[in-house]
Amino acid sequence: MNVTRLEYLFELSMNQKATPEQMEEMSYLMALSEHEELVKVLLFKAYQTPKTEVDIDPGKSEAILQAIYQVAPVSKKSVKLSSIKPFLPQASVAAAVLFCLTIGILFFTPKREELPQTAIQHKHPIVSGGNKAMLILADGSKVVLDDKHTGKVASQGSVLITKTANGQLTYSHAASAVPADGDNIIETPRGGQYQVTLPDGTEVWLNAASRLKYPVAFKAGERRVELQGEAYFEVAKNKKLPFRVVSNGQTVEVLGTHFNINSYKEEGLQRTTLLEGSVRVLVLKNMVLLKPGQQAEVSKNESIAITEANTEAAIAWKNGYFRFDHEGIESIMSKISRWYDVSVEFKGKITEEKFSGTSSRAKNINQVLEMLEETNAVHFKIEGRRILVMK
Amino acid sequence: MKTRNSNDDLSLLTSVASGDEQSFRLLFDKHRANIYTTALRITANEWTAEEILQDTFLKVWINREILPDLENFMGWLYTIARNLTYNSIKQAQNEKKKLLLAAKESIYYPPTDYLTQDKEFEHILRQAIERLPPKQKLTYQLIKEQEMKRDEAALALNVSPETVKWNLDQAMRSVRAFCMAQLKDAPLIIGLYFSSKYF
Repeated sequence: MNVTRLEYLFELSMNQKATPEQMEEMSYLMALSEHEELVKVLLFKAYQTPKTEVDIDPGKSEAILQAIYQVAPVSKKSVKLSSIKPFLPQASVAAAVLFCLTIGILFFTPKREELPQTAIQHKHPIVSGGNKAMLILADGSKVVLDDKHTGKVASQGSVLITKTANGQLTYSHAASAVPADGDNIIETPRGGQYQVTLPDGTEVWLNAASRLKYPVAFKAGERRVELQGEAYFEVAKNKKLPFRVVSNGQTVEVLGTHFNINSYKEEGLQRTTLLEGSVRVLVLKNMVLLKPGQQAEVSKNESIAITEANTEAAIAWKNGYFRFDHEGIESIMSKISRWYDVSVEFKGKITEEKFSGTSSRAKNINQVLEMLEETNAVHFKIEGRRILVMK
Repeated sequence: MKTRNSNDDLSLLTSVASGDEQSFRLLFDKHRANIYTTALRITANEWTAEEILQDTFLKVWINREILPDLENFMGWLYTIARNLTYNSIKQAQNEKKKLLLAAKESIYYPPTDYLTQDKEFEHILRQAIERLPPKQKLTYQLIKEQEMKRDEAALALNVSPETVKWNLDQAMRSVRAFCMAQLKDAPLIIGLYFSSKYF
């Protein structure tokens, strides 16, 4: 009797339908010694059934890894740093950077010299980036996009362009089907980001210092956009109209999927990271097909390499944080430089340490730099809007 | 479960075995949502689910050298998670029983004190605390040993309460992981020690 009751309750709990009382009862029954065998079978089966609805937040998952590495370290080569911030639900990502997030800092290198407070009084204080962009319409006129105003921005033929308060631009077709022509361009400055919903429903998040060119209305044959810099795409499914992103000699072709393209010229490599679905990456005559979790790296000589990617790190920017995963200081500094709109200069030898950690993009630059300094592998000096990086 | 490890998995497991943290991270990322979700549904407690996830992967990391030799890694992984989950349920019920009993007999029954009588545990705990990075150690001592409140510790350390929370959280995780690794046969003690008082 109890056995079937237990199975019934277990089923409920797996389907998230159990009441707190039922959960209580289930735990009680599970702990009875006579049920041990059955419980172990049920539990094993439960783990065997893949489910991923609830994920642990990235900060915590990082904390767990660090705790594990600390117990049984392998080598001391890689410098660890880490911090945590609350997880941002997908829906609010565009607005995420506006929130003031809590941050904590984790110190892994025991010795630390007390560092003087960096950059305090300055005429042009360094602030974190925000929702800022410029929209260039088909006739060349420009519209500044920020968080201040909402509503109609412009109309292009039958297409209405509106913006919301949280850094998002939307294209929608008016009822009358007057064909709309021409291209629009959305450009983010250094220290800016913006989200745009294209006429076909595709959502694009544009990182700092980036540029996206797209037709006001997609024509028959293909959906083609041009990208400079970095963007994350959630392409609306349409099997008849392939979506193509052209960037810096590379074409990424998809039918409907989620992926990130980082094509900043200063980074040398062009990286396309796939989160869902499948994409084809084409460069000259080379072509690769990516599976979710993979990243295509296109180098200057047009060769394509596929690696297993840390997808969370690749799209961390879109979710409002920096996430470094065994990343070199130069790459980290170029991200910081674009987001805080500062220039970076390396003084002396550049550290070869790799850094791992997470930090909110809404934070003041000092906090990010101090976090890096905690490792003692690198030090900074802020002079106006210039950051000196020293070993 | 007859599924053998695929070649992809095998190469990942081999590099984890060689101690590559990056590969371990990939392995962790691949399985963490399933383990966390499952544990959460069964225990209905986020902190417990996190513990199960951490302890499962701690075991994977400690035993990494055997990974490539496993015929069925997933089966092995799920067995670990299963056992940890089972133990945690048993333990939660036991503690509850004791507390109920204590309440009935109106005895003050500090949930952790008897544990620290265990000399071996005490010793390992000391070691674990000593190994903490300075700020975490200090935070841990102020709060655990001097029984300061979070705000008081924040004031004393001149940091924000969030930083205190973070440092304490990370310290607790590290201490727990260290103790787990040292006291392989005593997960119950650790479970009890860490399940009380903090969150």
